[in-house]
This record gives sequence, structure tokens and C-alpha cells, in this order.
Amino acid sequence: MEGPRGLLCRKCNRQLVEKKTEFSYLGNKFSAPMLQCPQCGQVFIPESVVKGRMAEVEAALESK
Amino acid sequence: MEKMSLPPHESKMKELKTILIEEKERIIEICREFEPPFCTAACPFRLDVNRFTEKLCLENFTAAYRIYQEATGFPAIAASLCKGPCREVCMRKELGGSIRMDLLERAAIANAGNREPRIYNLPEKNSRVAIVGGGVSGLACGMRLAEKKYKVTVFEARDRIGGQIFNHMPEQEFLDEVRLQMRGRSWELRLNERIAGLSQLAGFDAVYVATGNGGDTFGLSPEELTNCFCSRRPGVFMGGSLLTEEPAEAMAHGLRAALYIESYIKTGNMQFSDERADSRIPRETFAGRPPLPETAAGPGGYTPGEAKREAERCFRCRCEACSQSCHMMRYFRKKPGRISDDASATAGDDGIRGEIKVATRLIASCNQCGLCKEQCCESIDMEAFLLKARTALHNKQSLPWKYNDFFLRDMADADGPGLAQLLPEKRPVRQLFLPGCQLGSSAPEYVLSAYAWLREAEPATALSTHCCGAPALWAGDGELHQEVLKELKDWWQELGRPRLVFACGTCKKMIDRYVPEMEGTFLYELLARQGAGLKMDMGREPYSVFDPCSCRHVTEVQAAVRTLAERGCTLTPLSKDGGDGGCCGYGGHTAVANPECTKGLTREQAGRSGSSYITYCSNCRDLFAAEGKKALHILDAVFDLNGPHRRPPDISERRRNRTELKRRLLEEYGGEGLHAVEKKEEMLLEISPELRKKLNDEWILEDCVAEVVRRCEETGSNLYDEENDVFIGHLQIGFVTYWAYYRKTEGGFTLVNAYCHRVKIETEGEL
Repeated sequence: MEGPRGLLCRKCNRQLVEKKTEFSYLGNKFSAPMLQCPQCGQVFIPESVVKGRMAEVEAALESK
Repeated sequence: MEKMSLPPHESKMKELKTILIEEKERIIEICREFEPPFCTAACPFRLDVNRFTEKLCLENFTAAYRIYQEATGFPAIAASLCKGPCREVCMRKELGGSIRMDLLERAAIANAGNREPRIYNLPEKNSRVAIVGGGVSGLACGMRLAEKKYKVTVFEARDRIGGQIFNHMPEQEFLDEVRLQMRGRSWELRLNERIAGLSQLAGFDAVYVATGNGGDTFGLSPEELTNCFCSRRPGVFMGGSLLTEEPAEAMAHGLRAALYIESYIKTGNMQFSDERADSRIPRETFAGRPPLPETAAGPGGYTPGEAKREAERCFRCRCEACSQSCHMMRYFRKKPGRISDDASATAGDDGIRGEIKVATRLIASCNQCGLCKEQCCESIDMEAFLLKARTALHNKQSLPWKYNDFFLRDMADADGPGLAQLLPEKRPVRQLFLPGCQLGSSAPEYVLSAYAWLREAEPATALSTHCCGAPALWAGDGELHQEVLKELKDWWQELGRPRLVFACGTCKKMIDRYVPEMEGTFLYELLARQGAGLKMDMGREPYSVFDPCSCRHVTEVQAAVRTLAERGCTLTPLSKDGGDGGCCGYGGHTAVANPECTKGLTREQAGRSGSSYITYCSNCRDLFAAEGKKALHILDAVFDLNGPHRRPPDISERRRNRTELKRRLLEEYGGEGLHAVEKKEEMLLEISPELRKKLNDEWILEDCVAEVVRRCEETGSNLYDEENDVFIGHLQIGFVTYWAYYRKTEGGFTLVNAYCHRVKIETEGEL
């Protein structure tokens, strides 16, 4: 998983780990591995994912 | 929080779906998109002249030949026999002379790289077809059926084929062409075999009687033909010179009869429709086009270059008045028939398996300018149709909220914290100035100067920056639209129903359409009537007035703006003046749904004239200015406010301008009716110009990013990137999740990056 090395959850002071993360959009549910805080579950989604795969999913669910 | 409306009752949804489907059917029936050009309608072979001349324009003679061969079967014979009925109906007839199709056909034949017939890899058919008569009609029918691998037998009473053809063309040329086009086709020719009665042909599945002028009809009368060469006897067809004196027509009969024979063999059906009608393409489309003389040919016919030149004269007639006036239709390469079909499938039907979403983006890409209806000879109204489609999509919660979310939130801001309503001290209120929700966002001075001027002329003038509801209407949210209008109307009624003064064309269009009792006039008409001039020094350069699409045919305001402008500068009219050129790109809120199409339209409109524009819609002005076009709002010129180069505010600046307008109104007029400006705790968030541009391009408000930072700092829920010493946090606001990367500075924060997404993160609980 791409992202800055040494990403810490400021609240829990824990290093983020890759974990299955649930998403939803326009009534569809799906999941993908993302970095998360192992304690509180705070997620990190890098811009490359938002502008890449996630944007593709958004566009595909919105319209052809 | 923005207003949310409940999904309407199911029966209402069903009703709208039915309406959409009914309207679609009507549009498909009347739309003339697929009308053949006049020449094709007149051609015995129904040659697709548009495609044919298109290929010649590209000097692709082989492709042109193939089109001609496909239509006529025997190209060289057709070219000799045809008397050119197309020339009588050609739209070029009075504009330089009809297209010389005769010479173009010959040029296609002479220059084709390969004239061999196409051999299709089809299975052999067991059905047998008898052709009685080896003239051009029978041969054409036999050739087409042999091409499809039917077992064809041609019976000819004489000792040669051709019938009476040699009265019309040289024998050798005819025989060479038959030999060429029959090459590779399996068929049986029985010369010297006279058929005495149909009983002789009992072993055949179908018979085509083409015995020529005055030939044997085997007791079947041509008058009894039902249609399409079908006799009353199943499987027996009749055509050619038995029915017509025109040899080209006779040949075409054979080709068309082959189609019906094949269909009969497959289905047993003898009921077809072969009605030929004149083209319904509106002829007035061609009025005023410049004449261009026909290309002269040498004795050997056209050279390839001459053929190309002549083909280029062809108008390729088609009905395209709508798409010529609509950027969206050209962008999607679809016209009303196809659009209504796709849109009703997307918005009306639910599909057999799940949702059909083929046209969601198209539905959201209409600028709602209504120009198509005015250009269409059938008055097909795609503005209304696509608005219904948006409503149906909204009702079934299938219109991606992304398309309209920004605009709906902006409307919520304009009518919520950003709303400025002012009551004058003098009562009763005589006049209510409705500048619209965007004029003050573009520049607060527009509203301030105009209001000051109105107050001077009429002290009993109230003001409201309330929205007209267009964003809700364009989002397909009928209930929210009604709610917004009701709020405005209630306030107007409380004020004692004063006369309205509009500054925005869309506001007036919306109020006229949905609350017609709220009567009013444009600010520009009042300015012109009361002799206002231009305070701005306009220099010598000429300007063109760009009328907003909402004011198309609102001649009073068009004239008023021109009167005002001419008090200080010279005007040159735009082609398609008076708003006939369509929308600037703002209408219908299409920019999020289809940025490429919207930007393309704005660029096209900005490029319509080299002169600078004077607009009277701030959205037109700002969009043109964003494209680098010099553009003034007429209020800039009247009150000497901002120059034509003013950079349009970005989306965050627009919000700040709205607040600024409210603050200054309060400062200047104070008093009753003006909601207090909401005070937010100031937080210093530095954003570089590059990042501001990125935020603007991605529809991210600085306020939203600031809110992420504020929340992160309040709750301590964020991430720390040690390597880069950056804090990263995110927050869902409305439907959108915003991400902010920031550093702490002395006394505040610096934004390092920001982005957003629509997908919702489900894993996290309340952080």
C-alpha cells in the first residue's frame, strides 16, 4: 500500500497497518485494503487512490 | 444544513415515467433526423447519396463504388439507365446547379480499385427461386438472391438475356457488367425456355415474374398486386417493366423484390410496406447558402480531382437544425430521437436486469436553454423533456448527487447564512430588487451600486438576494424548487406584493414561468429609461452584446442593454444575435457532470467574435473571463466598476464575496430585515495560489478544508506523517469526504494538499 512511511494515528500513537476497509457509494458496497489505525480504525486513503481507482469506481457507478 | 426533500409518492414517479415514454415515442415519430435526403428519396435505388459523396470527398473511389454497387447491383447498368430523378429535387439546383450524380457515379466506377463483387461466406440455402424473364429486372432479382446463396433459376424465352435493354445501352457493356457482377455466384440460366403457366414452376419456393413490357402475367393482374410486388398468390411476385416504363425503376424492382422474396421464404409473409415518400427534411434549412457552380467535366467525364470538387458541393442534406444550435448534441453526436430513447430508458425504465444508465451524464449535460425547440421544424422541446428526465432520475434517486451537490449547497448558502434581505425605511415597499444569488458573488459592487441607484430613484425599494430556485429545478428536485419559490413568494407577499426589479435573466425566466403573479422588470430597462449613461471610459474598441440564453427574445431588455451600451461605446452585432447562439455554459449546471462539454461550449461562445463582450448576466461574464475573453457586465460600464480583464472569482472567493456584500449592506443600510452576518471564529489557514487553483478546479471550497483542519485540531483525530512533518485529516461534509494535509505555523496553519471523494468510508465509526 502506497502512502507516507511512518504514518501515525495521532490519537492512539500507533503505526497504521493495511486492513480491509468497507466503502459504499450510490447504494453499492465494496471493500479494499487500506491503511488503518489498528486501535481506533482511522483510515488513510492516499490521493493516488482517490484520483485513480476510486475515481473510476465513482464514475462507473454514476453513469456510462 | 441543506434542505432535503422526501422522495415523492410512487404513483407520481410512475406517472412521470409514463409521460417520458409517451413523449419519447412522439419525438421518435416526428424527429426528422433519419429522413433520407431529397435525392435518396427520389432515387429508384434509394442510393445513400450522403455516404456516397462523403467517400468521394475523401477520394475513396473504391468505397464510393461499393456503396453504389450495394444499392444498384449492376453499377455500370444503373449508371447507363438512370435518368437522374435526384437532379430534379437537389437542393443545389438553384444554387449553382444540381449535383452531377451521373458523372460522379461514372467516376466512382472508373476509379474504383476493385470492381469485383463481394462474395459473402453464407451457407447454401435449399430454397429454390424461379425468375421468369432474363431482362434487367429479373437478372437484378436473381443476382441478389444468388448472392445470398439461394438456388436461382432464370427462365428466358429468347436465346439471349437483356430483354429490351439494348434500346438503352450497348449490348457488350451490358453483358460485360452482368458477367462481372455474377462472377462467383451460382445460378442457372435457361434460355429458349418459355414458361406457359405457373404450374410448370411447382417445385420452386418462390417465383418472380418479370416478363417485361406487355409480357405474360399468367392470369395475375398487375392491378391486383397487394403491395411490394406481391401477387395474391402466395410466393408469386411480379415487377419490372410489367409495371413501369422506366428501365432503372424496373431494375430497382428486381432488387427490392429479392428482399421480399427472401422474407417470404423465411416467414411465409406476403404483407410488406414499400411506401416511398418525399423527404421531410425542412427545405428552409438551405435558404441563404451561397451558390457554387457545378464542376465542368472533360469528354472523358470527371477526373478524380474534379469528382472530389463536385462531391464537395453536395450539401449532404439532413435535418440538423437542433444539433447545429446545440453544443451538447454535437458533443454526444446524438439528436432528439436517439437522445429521447436513451434518456427515457435511463430515467423512465428500470431495465430487465437492474438499472440502465446509458444517458445519465447526457441528461445532466443539457444547458436548459431551449434553443433546440425554436430551431426544430417540429418544435421538439428537449429542454422540457430532459428536465423531466432529470426529475425522474432524482425521484428514483438515480441522479448522481455529485452533479448538483455543489450548486444545491451553494443555493442553501445563498438562502441561508448568505442571504441578504433589506427593508427600506420608507413604506409601503414599492419595489423589490432581486439581484439573484450570483451577482453579488461575482462582485459585491454590482449589487451595492445598483441598489444605491434604485434607492435614489425609489426610496421604498427592498432587496433580497434570495435564489430563484433554478439550482433545485435543474437538479430535478421539484419539491425543493417549490419550497424555495414559496419562501420567496411568502416574503414578497408580506411586503405587500411590490413590483420586482430583476438583474438576472434566469431569475426572471423562472419567476415568469413558475410564479407569474410576481411581476417585474429588468434593472437595465429602468437604467435605460431613466437616461443612465456609461461612467466607464470604454475607449474606441467595439463591443458586442452577448445576450444570455434566458433573455432570448426578451426584446425589451435586449434593446435596453444596447441603448445603455451605445451611450458610451460602439457595438458590433454578433452573428445569431439576440441570444440565438445559445447558452454560455452556465445554464443547467452542467459543469460538474460534464466539464469537457461545458468548457467546449464556453470556448465556442467566447470565440464567436473577436470583439469584447458586454453581458448582462454575471455568470456569462465570469465564464468568458475565465477563458481569457475580455468581458464586461453592463453594470461595470454603467457604474464604472471593474474592467474587462477582471479575473473571475474562484468558488471560495464567490462565497466570501457573498458574505462581504451582506456585511457592506449592513454597514451602509443597517436596519430591519437584514439577517446578522454569522461570525465564525477566525482561523488562519494559508493556502498557496497553486493550491487555490487546484481546489477551485476540483470544486473544493476553502471553507470545507478549513473545517477539516478545525475538526482535526478539536478532536485530535488525525494522522501524522513523520517523514514530511505533515498532519493529515479527513471529514465527511454532506456527501463528500474532504482530506487536508497541513502544517502548524505560528498563529495558524498552512495547507499542504487537499482532495476529496464521493465514495463513503463505512469502516470508521465516529472518530
